[in-house]
Amino acid sequence: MKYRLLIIVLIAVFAVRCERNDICEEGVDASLLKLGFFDASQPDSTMRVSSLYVWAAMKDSLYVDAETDSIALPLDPGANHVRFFVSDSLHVDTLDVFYDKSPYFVSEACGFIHEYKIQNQTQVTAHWIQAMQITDSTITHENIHIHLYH
Amino acid sequence: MLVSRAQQVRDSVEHSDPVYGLRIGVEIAHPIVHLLKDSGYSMEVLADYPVGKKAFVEMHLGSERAYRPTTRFDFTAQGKYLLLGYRRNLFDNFKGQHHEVYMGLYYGIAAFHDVLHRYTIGNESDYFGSVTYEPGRKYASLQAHWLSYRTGVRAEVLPRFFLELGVGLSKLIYRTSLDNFEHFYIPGFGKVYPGYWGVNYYYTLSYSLPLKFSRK
Repeated sequence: MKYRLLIIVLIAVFAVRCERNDICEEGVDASLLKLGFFDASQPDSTMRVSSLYVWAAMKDSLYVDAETDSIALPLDPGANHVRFFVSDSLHVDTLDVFYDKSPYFVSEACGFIHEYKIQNQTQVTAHWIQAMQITDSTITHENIHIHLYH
Repeated sequence: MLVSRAQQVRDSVEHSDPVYGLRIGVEIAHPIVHLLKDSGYSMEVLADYPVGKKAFVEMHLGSERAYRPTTRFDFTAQGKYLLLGYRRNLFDNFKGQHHEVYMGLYYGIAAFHDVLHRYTIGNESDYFGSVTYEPGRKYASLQAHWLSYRTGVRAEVLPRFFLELGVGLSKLIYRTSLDNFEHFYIPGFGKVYPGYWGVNYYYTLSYSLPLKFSRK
């Protein structure tokens, strides 16, 4: 009977050792800035852009000829400001995003992520975008953070 | 030759249990692993004393520094620990033998600190790449308490010299909460697995001191 207890313990040892905890699930890093496009004359309704191009200075395009009313942009973890170019294929507006960041520990597999907070200095030029409003400055929230009116 | 019924049932070999007294030793698995991996050091001494004929009380005192690198962050856990335990011998020794097949329960306490050396946020393949911080942040005055169930074999390989091989299953029952970090390794306890479990193997050498104790 005493050896049965030993077997149970050895099985428990294997169970502990075999549990995988080194995989970081997708979506844990909810650090994308979400922008929505709205009708300037009817501020509550979304208004799709039919041919949208978005890129950051000297980098690849994030959106190419996209038809959408919302976009999700990454922020630079090594800086406090990112400059994006947003185009409706006729004109280009410059979006300067300023933010604070603080490291936040998630798990052994994922390590740390940043919690970003959008600052009020964030602004956009007005060639085809008429107005901008920060509706949620906390990037970890899943909703639209900035409204763009055109 | 006439022998009584009672005498026929008895073994011709006498069974006996340890008459040795205080025994001292060192744990060598952890020091060797640290040496091989160049990940710090470990020093653990132990002492045990027989209780009755089939049990022992045991004490371990140790000091460990463990450098633990992972993909996302690196840290070092360093401190001292104490273990107190009671184990029972399941093995029937013949007279003059002092081997053990044991099962024991231990209570462990560690006093230690962590240093978070560096961590990385993001991946190189991300749009803006990753960033690495090197805070060298120290989490001081940490404490942990745990229960450990150990089982193994302790054999007298030479007169008064013992070699032990054992495994243990441990459970953390108290740990100091950390601000924006977690416990992943605790001196004396080892690597902390999900659910605050620990699993270890032990390899000890000990020597039974030739002190005279009067038979009680």
